[in-house]
Amino acid sequence: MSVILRIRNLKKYFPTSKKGVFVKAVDGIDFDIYKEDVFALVGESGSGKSTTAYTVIGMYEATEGKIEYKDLDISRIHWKRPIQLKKNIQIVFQDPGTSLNPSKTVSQIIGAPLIIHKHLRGEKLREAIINALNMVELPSEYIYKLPRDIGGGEKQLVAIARALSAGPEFVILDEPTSALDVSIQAKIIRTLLKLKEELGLTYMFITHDLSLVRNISNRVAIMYLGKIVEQGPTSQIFAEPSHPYTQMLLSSIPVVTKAEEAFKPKQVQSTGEIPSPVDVPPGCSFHTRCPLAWDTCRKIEPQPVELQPGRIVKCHLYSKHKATLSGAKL
Amino acid sequence: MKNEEALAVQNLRVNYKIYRGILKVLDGINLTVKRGEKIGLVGETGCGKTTTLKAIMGILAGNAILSSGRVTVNGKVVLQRSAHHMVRKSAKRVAMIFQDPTASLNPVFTIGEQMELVVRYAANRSSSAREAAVNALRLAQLPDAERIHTNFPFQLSGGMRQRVCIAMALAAEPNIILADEPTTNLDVTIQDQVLKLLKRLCDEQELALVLVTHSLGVARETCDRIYVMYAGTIVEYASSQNIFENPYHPYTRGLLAALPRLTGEGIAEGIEGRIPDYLNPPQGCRFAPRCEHATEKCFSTKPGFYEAEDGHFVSCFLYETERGVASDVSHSSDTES
Repeated sequence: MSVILRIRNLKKYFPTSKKGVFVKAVDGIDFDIYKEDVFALVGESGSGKSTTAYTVIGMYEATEGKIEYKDLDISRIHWKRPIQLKKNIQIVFQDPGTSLNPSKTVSQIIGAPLIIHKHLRGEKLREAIINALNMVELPSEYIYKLPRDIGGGEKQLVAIARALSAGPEFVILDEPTSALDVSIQAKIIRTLLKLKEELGLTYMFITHDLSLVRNISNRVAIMYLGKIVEQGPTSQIFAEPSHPYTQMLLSSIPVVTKAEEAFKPKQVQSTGEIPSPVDVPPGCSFHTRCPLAWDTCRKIEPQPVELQPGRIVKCHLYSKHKATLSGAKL
Repeated sequence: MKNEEALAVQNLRVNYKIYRGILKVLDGINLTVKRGEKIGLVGETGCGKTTTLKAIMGILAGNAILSSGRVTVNGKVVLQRSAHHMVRKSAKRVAMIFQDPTASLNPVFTIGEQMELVVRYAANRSSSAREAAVNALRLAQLPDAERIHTNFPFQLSGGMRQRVCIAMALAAEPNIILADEPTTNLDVTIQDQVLKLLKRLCDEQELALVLVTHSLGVARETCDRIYVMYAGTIVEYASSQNIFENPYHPYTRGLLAALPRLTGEGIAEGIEGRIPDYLNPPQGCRFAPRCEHATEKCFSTKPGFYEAEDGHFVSCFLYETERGVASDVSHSSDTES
């Protein structure tokens, strides 16, 4: 399978009011997204998952590092990107209440990308808009409605129709269902997965909901304070979480059945809170909350260790016995 | 002591008057909480969970109309409808924790100043207010309580602010805590800590807890009993174990099926349609328009509560024959306004 998006050592720092002090929102991450995959980027608030998405789409300019889309270097801000590229990469935002213009009708909202990328006018434009609405299973009368006339779930479907109307190949979904109720979430997710199959799309799915990730993605990356601490195939990560943070995260999820309870890793006492990304702890950034941390963790940052092909963990627990492989730098 | 009722809500109906008409929000809510019992009020956005809590607390908005019902706290009636208007008394020994700790703390006073006010006026202790405040902070497992006492809210993180709110609730020396989505704004690892703290405190001090949440998982891990709400009505209540192992009401079933599972069984259908318009709610069962089992009767008559199992009550005609009408509360279908 071919790699559609390759991220290498991506960094995004934001300046603060103090000179020389930066918020390290994304601090050197690497990952690959394969064609027709659902790649999930998981983390708590402030872990840099949305910043990663916005840098990939070009809303932010990367401080350092490389973003390659189908072997084309796209690590630049959106106005320096070719328009064809913008057609190919689209995004759906978290809150449909704020990502849709309240004074435009649904037809204007969905029509904008069709006019820009497909140069459609008149009757053809109208047809394409109705097609896009039908794609997300909304009735065609909706073209006359304003965002305030429709429910939250329907608004998100309109946002999805807008993202897909231009015919993209790669769609970033930034917490598309976290503002919605579970019964509506199920419908949106089903629609998204159906469209992925039909149109052969690739998704980068950003969320903090691990139960959801388990059900929809093939590959997962877990972020903590701007770094990816663990990544790999979904089934492996959930069956055998390796990083202590992943274990803590999984054991903290409130679940509703006994089967799920048995599935969770043994209770890891959740302690402490996420430090501020302005002064990230030295060494492994998780050491302040890690139940297993020792001296090395407080001083030296762990290097990524490949446990199995595609399964990468950043933790000294695993670099110890693999020291000969990747520990030369330590 | 243990089996005494701490809180009872009877046939509570609350409407809101708005420009377009009258929103009939709460449609006969009945719930009881015993001393030291932790109950969960679960439902989706707009189902009236928060309105119920506000009615109990006596902080309903100005346009709210109480059309019937009564709220009893520790044996005293605090809210009821008299001939023409609602009669409110401030409930004693009830404390509330809100969803957004940032918005519920005053940004211009230190944590200590705010907490001491609570100690002075709610718990009626002025001599040792400072000590009581610091003690409450310690109880909420805040590290370095003395320092936090002098901090402003902006100096604390989200999880710590919510702990401060819990401490503040405790400082009022309540025996009932009402918590309105206390962990919705927090990350999962912090949520886990805050819920465990809340649960432990309630167990240690024999506090009754009413936890309002939209997360079924949170309710299951914290509460003894769960009430499931839909569109201003309670559709099912039972022990948390029963609700999750043996849900009866079609809505509860749909809701549980829609939840993505950690074990990975794919994504279920979800429930078609949306919550009814409160201006003109369905005549009979409020879930009928979305229910696949709905019959004509469901559209015309409101179901009562039927006991499907011991202590497991369902408000659905499907279970009418199970044990006859074994409802513990009479459920009148006429609406006074």
